[in-house]
Amino acid sequence: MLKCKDVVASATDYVDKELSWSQSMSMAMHLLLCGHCRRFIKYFKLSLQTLKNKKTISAENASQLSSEIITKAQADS
Amino acid sequence: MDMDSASFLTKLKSQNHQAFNQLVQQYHSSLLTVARTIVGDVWAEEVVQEAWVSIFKALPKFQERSSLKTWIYTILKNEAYSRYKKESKTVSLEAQVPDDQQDRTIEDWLSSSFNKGGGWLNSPSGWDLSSPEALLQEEQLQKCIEHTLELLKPDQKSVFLLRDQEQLAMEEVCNILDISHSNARVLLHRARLKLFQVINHYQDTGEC
Ligand SMILES: [Zn+2]
Repeated sequence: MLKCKDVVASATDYVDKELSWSQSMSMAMHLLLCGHCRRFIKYFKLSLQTLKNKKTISAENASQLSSEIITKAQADS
Repeated sequence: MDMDSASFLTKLKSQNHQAFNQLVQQYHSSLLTVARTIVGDVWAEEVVQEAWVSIFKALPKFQERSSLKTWIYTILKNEAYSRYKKESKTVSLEAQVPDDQQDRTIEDWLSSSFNKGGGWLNSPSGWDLSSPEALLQEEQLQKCIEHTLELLKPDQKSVFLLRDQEQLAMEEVCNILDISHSNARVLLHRARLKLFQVINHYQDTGEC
């Protein structure tokens, strides 16, 4: 029987779907029975969402930067 | 314009300035993030600039054997590591690398969270901020997260950001950083646990 500690240890493999078939089965069984771990997994996944807001630079900065780069690249060759 | 479309790639490979501009806008911040984890803040800007110059020059030769994304990150990585080697001879970049304090906090958290039988002692309680939007809007929490990221070791931070921020496949992450799959998974898991722990702590206490 999988322990709560094992669930935490396998959380990354679980959310990335890298567990073997039998590991997935034990995990599913544990999560069915254990509300604590269900909550942990839910919040663990939610945590990862906080990284997804990708910063991009402004259009203005990008065009200035890219013309500098192109000028430099053409000067080199 | 879809950056993975064939017509975009064709334009890019012919060094179309507008297409290149789009590429810069899309990737510049991410490249800077990865460069910082390798060479530190002082050299990152310059390294990324140099990488862009190399990328622009090499565009006509891009073979599409890997995705455009992987190709770009690989050029950046090479640029960053060669700079790292050069600079670490003159100044000690090692000093900027934090120790394994982060690993210890995770160990502490793990050992205090479970009983001897491996069951929860302190399972996470309900979170007040329980949607991605709510988490992203909480400025103080965002600062805590940034701080946590700063304390990660460079290789760990790179794995974490490439995988969970840039959403690259694990295989691509390993290719770019030139590390083994098993090593990357360990680094990633610890970084994710750390992130979870910081957010969980914030939900409980309102502090970092
Ligand atoms: Zn459990």
